[in-house]
Amino acid sequence: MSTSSSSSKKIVLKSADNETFEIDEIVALESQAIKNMIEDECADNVIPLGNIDSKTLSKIIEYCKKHAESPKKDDNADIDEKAVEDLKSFDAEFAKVDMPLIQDILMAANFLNIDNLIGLMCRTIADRIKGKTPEEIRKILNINKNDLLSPEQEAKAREENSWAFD
Amino acid sequence: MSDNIPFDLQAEIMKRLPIKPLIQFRSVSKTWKLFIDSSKFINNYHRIHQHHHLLVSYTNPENKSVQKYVSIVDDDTFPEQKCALNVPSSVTLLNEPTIVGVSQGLVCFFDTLERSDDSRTKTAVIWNPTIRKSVSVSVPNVLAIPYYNVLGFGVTPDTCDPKLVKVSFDRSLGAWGDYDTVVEVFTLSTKAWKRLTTNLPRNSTAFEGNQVVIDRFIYWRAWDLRFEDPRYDGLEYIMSFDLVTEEFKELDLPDSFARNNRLFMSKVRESLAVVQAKVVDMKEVVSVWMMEHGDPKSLTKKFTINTTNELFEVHGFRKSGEPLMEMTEDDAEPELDDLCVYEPYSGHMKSVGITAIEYSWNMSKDNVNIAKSVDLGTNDFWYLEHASKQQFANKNVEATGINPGLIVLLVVGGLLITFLVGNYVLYMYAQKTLPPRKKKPVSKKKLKREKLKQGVAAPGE
Repeated sequence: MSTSSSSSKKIVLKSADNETFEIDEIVALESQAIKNMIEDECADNVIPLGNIDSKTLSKIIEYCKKHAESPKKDDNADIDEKAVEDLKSFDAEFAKVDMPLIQDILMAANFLNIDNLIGLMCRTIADRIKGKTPEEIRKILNINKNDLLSPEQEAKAREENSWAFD
Repeated sequence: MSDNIPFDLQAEIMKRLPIKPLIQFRSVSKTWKLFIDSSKFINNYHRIHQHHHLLVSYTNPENKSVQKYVSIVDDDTFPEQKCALNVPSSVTLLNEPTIVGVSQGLVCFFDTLERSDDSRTKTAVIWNPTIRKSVSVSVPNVLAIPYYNVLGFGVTPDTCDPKLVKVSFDRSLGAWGDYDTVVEVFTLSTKAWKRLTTNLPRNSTAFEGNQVVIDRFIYWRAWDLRFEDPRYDGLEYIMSFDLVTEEFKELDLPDSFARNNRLFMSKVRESLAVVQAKVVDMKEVVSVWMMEHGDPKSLTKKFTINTTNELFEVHGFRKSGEPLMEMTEDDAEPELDDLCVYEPYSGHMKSVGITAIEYSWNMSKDNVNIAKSVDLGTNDFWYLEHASKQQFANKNVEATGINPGLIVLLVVGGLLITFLVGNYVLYMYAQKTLPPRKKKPVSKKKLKREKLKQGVAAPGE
């Protein structure tokens, strides 16, 4: 069976808290992981996503819908500049959520293999943590205590690049 | 609540951080430090964080003894975003610092002060503006005569290893062809100079100090000094140095370029830009040509600079290909010139907003990538800092000479005496063997001004 003939086909995603989302296949194809499953014909009508809750999943679907509708860069050379701007402002609005949700979306996007969304979430996190201290970063990203630098190593690291601590 | 973000995603976040927090976050954890300091990460980081800046240096009319450095962001906002740069103290210590060249975001300065009693060792400084680190390199066997030395600088693309190449023509020893051409190459990874013996430039070559680095080649404008022979009289060509194979090569220019022109070379994106000034019907016509893939046959004319003010000098280009020119207004203060950008299609001239003493301009022929740092081939992000610290430590010992330790005093005293005696010997030697110092050539613009005046006067006669 060919996958190209099924553009209007529906795919059902099931979240960890058993909520189901029916979406167009074209939207689901934004996820490289789901695309692979469909191509390998190992996707049933319902795809269970046991590690993604419904709040995160609905955000991800919102993102995929918008991006599936927008013209792709490699489709043709002269893409509408307005469409590009539109997508940019959508992304900016989309990222205006709290830090725990951003991290959840990042993890889910990583699992579903949605490159653009991974990039957007990493950019957002980088943007939010850039003014923080190393100590705060450890807390936010829950860095393993065994991985910390010794006080001497930390002092040395600071000395090596003192200009960055102005 | 989410699980911990896996490391590969943390890495994706790191590469999107601006340089300053990134450097601070080296102390987040051992894994982060190891990762941020790795050459793989640094190389990757460069590709993403590119901000193009043009580096301009000039002498301010208010304070003539200080050379000012300004970087201008080369994007849509040009020339609005200007910022004064503090060059490292190792550069301000040079007597007459000049920008030798820019390669992969590193800037090289060299001391160009020419004095007959100069010691033969001069200092070059390689500066990484992104991480604000610099290293000083002693350049040995420098001759005290203009046009007799040339220093080139470039970063070898494959190894990311900065290289200096120094050519000295000792023309004092005899007739053409009897003298020594000495070529020495310094690589930062080995911190040593070595002498090249094959594929040297021919003895009668003269280089212009301005260099352009494209890919693995350094290019200079060069000409032949055998002007008494009509075959070579005024013959110009391009000299190239391959940073990988360490070989010089002459690139012959088409006839229309090779003779009776004033040429200036710069870089526009990855192409060599050649500015040609030709006198046609008593008027100077300045046109801009591009050369691709290091092949002079590919020289293509892009545009002619049309302006009512003929007193200008091209100093460099924006990455869009618009030339930056020093403009002289006839009624302006005699010594002050403006830097302007010329738009080829409209012929419009726009001031960049910097005024300086004429002929004090020195511009990078390439974009300085302020956010970019180069892996210095030692897999050590911080190499430049450590190296320059050592250099400064050495300098302090020499400069102060006041040390309570008797041994140190003796060593320093010994060094000082050796230095003085050495200088005296060199001075005596120089007095005997070197020809009298060549006078600074009369400025091209002064000549041009004279020429134009005559040109205007002629029809009225």
